[in-house]
Amino acid sequence: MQTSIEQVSNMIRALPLEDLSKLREVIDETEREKRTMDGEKQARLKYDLERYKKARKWINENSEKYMNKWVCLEGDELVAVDDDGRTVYQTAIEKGIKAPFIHHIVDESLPFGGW
Amino acid sequence: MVETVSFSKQYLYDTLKVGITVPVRLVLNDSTAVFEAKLDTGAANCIFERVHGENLGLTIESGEKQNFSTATGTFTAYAHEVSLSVLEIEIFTRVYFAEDESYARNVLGRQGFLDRVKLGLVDYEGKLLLSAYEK
Repeated sequence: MQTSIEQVSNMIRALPLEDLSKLREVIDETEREKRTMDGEKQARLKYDLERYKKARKWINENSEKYMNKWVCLEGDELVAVDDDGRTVYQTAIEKGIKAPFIHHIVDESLPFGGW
Repeated sequence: MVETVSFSKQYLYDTLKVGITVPVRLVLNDSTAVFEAKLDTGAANCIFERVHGENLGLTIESGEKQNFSTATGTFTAYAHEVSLSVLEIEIFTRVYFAEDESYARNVLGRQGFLDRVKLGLVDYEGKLLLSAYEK
């Protein structure tokens, strides 16, 4: 069951004076934690998208050469290439990449007709 | 009636590429798989290539079997629960991995993704707007 802001407000009003400063500390600490988490998420998203854009540019420029291959890219750097996506993933992990971007290069010259 | 909807994320996708393509992150235990997927309002579920599930350490056939129909036939996939992130919007959800290794599409469909987010689209500008769904 979710507590509404109105219920919380009523609970706060019922608190004794000495508990209000403790409550303020809890609120400040929670706010700090959430802001830090949001900041970290934003930074990671920015980094991931920049890395992805470089990888996408690489794919656009090299898809003909690597047609039907699986590739792992770290930005615009080719980390691994193979006919098997599992081998490519494993190679990337062994090279210390924790979240490898894996792409199967297939012919997308025809428009997709939907399901 | 005018309805205003706000979104927490904006992403400019490549309009020259086939489909509306976004980077996707799947996480299961300590394994992470990052790859591209296409938004597909016509797909009932999120369906990914088999390899991505295997890279997460899944035994694909241990999941619940589901047959899917397409305009030209049917194919089989298996359900698994994973953490799915698109533009840092993270959802713990049920997705499907295709049985056939030759299945070469990754789609974000309705159940498990579109029903868990708010989505806005301005295709002319290649603009995708996204938020986690909250009542």
